[in-house]
Amino acid sequence: MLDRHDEQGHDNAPPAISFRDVVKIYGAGAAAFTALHGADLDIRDNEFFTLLGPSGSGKTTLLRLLAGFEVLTSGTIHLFGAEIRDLPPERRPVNTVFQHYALFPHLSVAENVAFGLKRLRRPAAEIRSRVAEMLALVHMEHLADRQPGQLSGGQQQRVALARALAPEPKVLLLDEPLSALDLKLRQAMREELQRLQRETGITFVFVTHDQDEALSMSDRIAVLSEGRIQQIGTPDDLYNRPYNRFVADFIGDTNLLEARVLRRSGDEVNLRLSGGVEVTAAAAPGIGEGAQVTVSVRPENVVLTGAEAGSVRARLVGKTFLGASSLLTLALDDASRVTVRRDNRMGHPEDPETGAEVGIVFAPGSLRVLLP
Amino acid sequence: MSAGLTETPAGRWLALGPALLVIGVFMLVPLGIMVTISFMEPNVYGGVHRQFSPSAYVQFLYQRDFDDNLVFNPGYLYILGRSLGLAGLATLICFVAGFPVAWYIVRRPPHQRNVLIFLVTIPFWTNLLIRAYAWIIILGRDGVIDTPLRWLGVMGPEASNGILYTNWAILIGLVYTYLPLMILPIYASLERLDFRLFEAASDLYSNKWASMRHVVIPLALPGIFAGVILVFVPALGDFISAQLLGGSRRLMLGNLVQLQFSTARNWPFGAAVAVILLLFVVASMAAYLRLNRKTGLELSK
Repeated sequence: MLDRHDEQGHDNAPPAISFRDVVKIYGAGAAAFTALHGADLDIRDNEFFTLLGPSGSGKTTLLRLLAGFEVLTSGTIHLFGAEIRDLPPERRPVNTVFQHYALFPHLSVAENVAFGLKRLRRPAAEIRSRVAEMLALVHMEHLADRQPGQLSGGQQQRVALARALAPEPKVLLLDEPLSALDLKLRQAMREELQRLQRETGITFVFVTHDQDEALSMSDRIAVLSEGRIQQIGTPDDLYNRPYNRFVADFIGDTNLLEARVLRRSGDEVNLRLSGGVEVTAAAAPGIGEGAQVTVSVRPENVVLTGAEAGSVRARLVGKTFLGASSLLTLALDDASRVTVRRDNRMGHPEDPETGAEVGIVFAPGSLRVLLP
Repeated sequence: MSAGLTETPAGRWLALGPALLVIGVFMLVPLGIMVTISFMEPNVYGGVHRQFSPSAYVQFLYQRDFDDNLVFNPGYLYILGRSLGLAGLATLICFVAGFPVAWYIVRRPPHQRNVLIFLVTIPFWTNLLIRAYAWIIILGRDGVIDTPLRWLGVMGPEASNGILYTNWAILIGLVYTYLPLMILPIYASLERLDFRLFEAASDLYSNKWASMRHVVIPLALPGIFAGVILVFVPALGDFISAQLLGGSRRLMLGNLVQLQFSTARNWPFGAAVAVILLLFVVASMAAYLRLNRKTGLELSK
């Protein structure tokens, strides 16, 4: 939606997946619910792509449309240039790792992994070697004869991955596969998934509501909210150059400040914050002089100074110790709040006492004007 | 304390006491009486002579000719065969007809499911005899089935009663009576099925038939076995369908038993037939338990 034209411009290979004007409406009449309002999205071959959004944002609907479990209301989906809207799931070269794994409880681990290959009527010898290869890939070869009910959550996860990778799909879909695991395992599996994606060279489409997962694993991310794609970009783009208020707020912590545009010059605008201070920020398209806007600045880009040295005066009203860093809450003159993140490196100056008068400056280039 | 009661062995027996008493008095004792009677001599005025004799079991296979020699008589074996055949066929038809119904109901939204299950159980609300009489009218001469069949020339004028009083009529009666007993347990096992498995199967290149065969049916096996037992066992002993829809000449084992205790006044033979029937029931139950334990183990492993 946002960068589709230039994206196609510098990449000659056709995208692995392209959604065009995809609309999905569940139900009909008064009970109709629009899960997707015309999504446009290109996913490149061999990319680790993440669909990120809160529940109800349409990310899972997008994945299910791709797998073929739901029927498009309108629009098109192309897989390596071929239209797939009328193909049933079993005829799409796409496999899914389900949120709760959906392993077949009556089949052993090896039989689960062989399931897709058997339906594809591959020769028995090929199935056997492929199953062994897949189980080795996910380090599960010693448990090949177990039933899924005898496995831990993390082991079931690995079997689900092996089962979905065994038929060598062109695209692997992952529907919040880590959400049922505990924290430690979840972090280990992140690296595991990245390794698998690199080793297999298969395009991964990963759905999650967890921004840490998305930022740590993905090549690119599409952020969704209320059935619309809000922004598509690299983790760095989303974090440091959020496009609108939703993305800035959803990804990481941020300070949102109200301001009025004084002047615009190229990519920069001069703003007056509601407290009266003038600052320079990166502009957003369609923002002109006199506009009332919201500006985002990350807590780590707000620097604490002495009361007189800062460009903005503030009073410290709260401190939260987080170990590696602390979050300080400041009240500005107009009663708006700003959060500052400070490193707790050894030898770093002590945090001021609560109630102290302080000053702050914004790191250069850290302020961004957001679209509503 | 009820929680404490079941924790000691003595308490457990005490808690089971009423159930054991009912099973003992109303099931095991009558069964014992029946087996005992089957090994006695008949009394021509009804009742038995208290004297051990295997003659009732001999009578099942042989008859005495005019010279008092034992001659093999397959008549009762025909009845046993007809019972097993009709019960087996009825079970098969019930499965083939009942499984899709159970599957259909499970795929409806929950509020519709309850209504549909209620509809399945409605025939149980009417007396079995009345329902059997209704079938006499439906299947009999000039009934809704007989008339079009004659009109199409499928059935000649020599079949004076249409398909009433044939094995087919008994089969229809059995299927009609026991179909809900097939649908309900299959429904119960399908309802517990995780339908994401169906999606997973289609994601892994299974069309609808392959998903059914490799995922749904294996996982519904406990319900299918239960339905098979619930239909086969009572169908084997059924006598109302045979009596009303099969006419007087097409006996099933159940009719034979009933006949011996009423008109024929040969209690030992009736009891012996009942014991033979019971053996087949026990055999099928044993097969059921064996199969169920096997699949149950696989599922819980």
